[in-house]
Amino acid sequence: MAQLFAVTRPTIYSWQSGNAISPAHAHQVRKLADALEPHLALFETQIGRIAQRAIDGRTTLLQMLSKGAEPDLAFGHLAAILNEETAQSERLSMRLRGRNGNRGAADLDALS
Amino acid sequence: MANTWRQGDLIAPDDAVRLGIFENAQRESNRALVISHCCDLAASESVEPTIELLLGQVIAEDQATCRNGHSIRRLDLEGMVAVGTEFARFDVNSRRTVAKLELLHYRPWDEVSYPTLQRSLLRRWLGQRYSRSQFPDAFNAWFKDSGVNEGFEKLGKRDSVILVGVFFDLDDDTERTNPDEPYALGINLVYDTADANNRDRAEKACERLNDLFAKKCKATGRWRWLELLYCEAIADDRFSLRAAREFRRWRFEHRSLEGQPMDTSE
Repeated sequence: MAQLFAVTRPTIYSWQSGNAISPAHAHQVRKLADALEPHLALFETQIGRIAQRAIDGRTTLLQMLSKGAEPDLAFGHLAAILNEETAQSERLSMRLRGRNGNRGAADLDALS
Repeated sequence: MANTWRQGDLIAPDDAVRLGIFENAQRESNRALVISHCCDLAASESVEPTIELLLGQVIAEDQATCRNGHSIRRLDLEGMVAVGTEFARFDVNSRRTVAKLELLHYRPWDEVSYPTLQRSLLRRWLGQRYSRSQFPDAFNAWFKDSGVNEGFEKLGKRDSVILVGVFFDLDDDTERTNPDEPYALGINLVYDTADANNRDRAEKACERLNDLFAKKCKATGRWRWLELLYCEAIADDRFSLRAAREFRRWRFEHRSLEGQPMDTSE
C-alpha cells in the first residue's frame, strides 16, 4: 500500500489513525475506493487472492496500480479473472458431488 | 571431511571429469546431478557407500519441453547462473553412482545451481517413477490405438511450461474389450496462475483437445475407444485436494499396468 502511494508505511498508519492526508493523496484514495466499490462483494470473499494475483502477464494488481494503471480497469480485470475462476470452482464441485472423494490417487504429492 | 552435498546439487564439470563421470570434451554440454536423498548423503559411507547421480545435457530454453514433471522419462530443470538461466535435460535412465568418499573431496558447483522449487520438482519427479497413477491396460491401449496419444504428447511438449498438472477424470477401472463401448473421460488442465496469460493458453489447449478427441474418436459420429465428456482449464489455486484424490494425474509417455513400453523407442 505504501509503495502504491509512494509514501512510507508509517504514513499509511497515520492516515488510518485519522491524521491529515494531502489533497493529492486523498484524491488518489477516493479514486481507488470508487473503482473498488462495484467489486467489494466479490473481493471480500476472495481477500487472499487480490493483491498478489497476476492480472496482466506476471504483473499483479498492486504493481499495475503502482505503474499508474487506471483503477477502474485494473479492478475490473481482476474481477473478471476471479469470476471466471469461481465458475471453474463451481463446475469442479459439481463434478465431484456424490463421489467418495478418495480413489487413492497414487501421486498426491504432485500437488505440493 | 565436511559433507556439503544435498539432493539437487550439480558436480562442477572439472570435478566430474576428474571423477570419470564424463569426458573433458563434454564439460560444456553435460551435467551431473546428485539425486541421492539428503539423509543418504548425510549417512556414514559404511551405511551408504555410493551417491546416485543423474546425467543430463544442456539444452536451449525453447527445447525445454519437459518442465514441471509431466514427462515420466525426462525432466528439464532451470538452473540459476550468474546472469540468466541454464536449462538441462535429465533422463531417468541416465543414472550412475559414484563412491561417496570420492565425491566428498569436492564441493557442489556454485556456478550453476537449482533453486528450491526446481529441487522440489526433482524430488517429486524421482518419486513418481514408483508412485504414479495407474490406468486400465485397455484404456492405455485405446489411447494409443485411437491416435489420441500423439496429439496429446504434442500438447505436453507445447504447454508443459504453463500446466502444473494434467488430471484425468476416469472413474472406471474395468478392462474393456469392445471399443464401441468407450471409456468416459474428463480432462482437467491445471494451469499456473503466476502468469495471467496462462488461462488463455490452457483454454486454447482445451479447444485443441476437444478437436483432437472428436477427430480421432468420433469420426463416424459415434464415440469409439474414448468419449471425452469434458475438458476444463482450471487455475492451480482452485484445483482442490479433493479433486486430486478423485482424479488421476496423467504423465506423458504413460505406461500400462503391464509395464510394457507404449512405443518401441523406449
